Amino acid sequence: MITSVAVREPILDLIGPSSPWGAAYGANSGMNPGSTTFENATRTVYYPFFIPTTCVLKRFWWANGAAVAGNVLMAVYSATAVGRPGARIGTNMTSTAQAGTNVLQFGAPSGGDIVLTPQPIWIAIAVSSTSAQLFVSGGASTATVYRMMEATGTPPATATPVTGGGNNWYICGFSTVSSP
Amino acid sequence: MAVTLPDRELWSYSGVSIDNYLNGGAVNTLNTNSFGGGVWPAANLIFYVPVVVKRRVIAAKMWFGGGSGTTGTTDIGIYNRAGSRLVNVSATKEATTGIVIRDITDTTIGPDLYYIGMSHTEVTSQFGRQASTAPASAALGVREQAGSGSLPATATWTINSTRNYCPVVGILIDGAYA
Repeated sequence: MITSVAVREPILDLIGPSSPWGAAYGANSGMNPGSTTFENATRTVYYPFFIPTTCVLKRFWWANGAAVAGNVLMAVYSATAVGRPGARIGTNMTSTAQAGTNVLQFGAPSGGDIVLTPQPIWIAIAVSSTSAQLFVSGGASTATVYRMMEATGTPPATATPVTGGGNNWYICGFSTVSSP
Repeated sequence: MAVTLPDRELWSYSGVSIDNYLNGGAVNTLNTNSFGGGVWPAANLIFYVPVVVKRRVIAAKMWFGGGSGTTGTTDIGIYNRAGSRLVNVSATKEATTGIVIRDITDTTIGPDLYYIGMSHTEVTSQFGRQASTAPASAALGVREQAGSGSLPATATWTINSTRNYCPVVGILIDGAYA
């Protein structure tokens, strides 16, 4: 008889690309980030994450770079059978003006907390200005084969992702706590 | 056919140390490019470094990376995710470039997310630390607090996006390790 082994994956407070739930975990050069302008003012970029245990998304976060401009919009998506971004889970983040250079900034989902069950997900980020700067992972060269994008538009209800668009891995994610 | 299961969840195995440097407990990725000795950034500054404890263990000792210098006093301890101190030990820093190990009261913890708190009272002694470009540490969940020389019973932590210093710290579950 096989006895099941309980899975006890602790819920993290802050989940980002280089946390154990992020696809960039293990990217050795990933944590010497640099500031760069957002790639396209009418584009949504998706990054893969994995949710190992049920948790509550209370806030999205991103890392402002050396200059701020425009508004940031984020969302979370389930994955399709082939792993691509699929349906949006919950609501988009309330569109938020970038504020403060070289800091983490947070924004809450417009419809309140989002419950995430164990599954692969994609985190989407769009910025309305190419003057806006965000920090990108120092190990971004491999991002080309991980990220996807909505070639035009802000995070939609259902993703229609395509590949391409460069290799920027914007440092962003979500938090399961309201503060800090 | 009889099936023999491992006596623990192997995916949660972390060796004798649960820390912010090795895969077993770290919520950050290893970054040897920026690892080395660095003076404590501010007198009485407290860092809270997140670590994941994936199974129930007995925390027997704690360690931190030594750099150089013997001035000042170092305090290191464990906080739960709510910011309550579970255990700590005040230690005079040793002049060593290796690992400084301190005994603590055996404390059962996990599975959960914890924060290793570490404070130091002055700014000439060096410690082993990761110096990834800011805001890497903040993005990895590292928090901090201006303290008064020892670890408080309850953390009042904040995120500092400009800090490029994260001490390398850990919990030893092998009480005989020295």
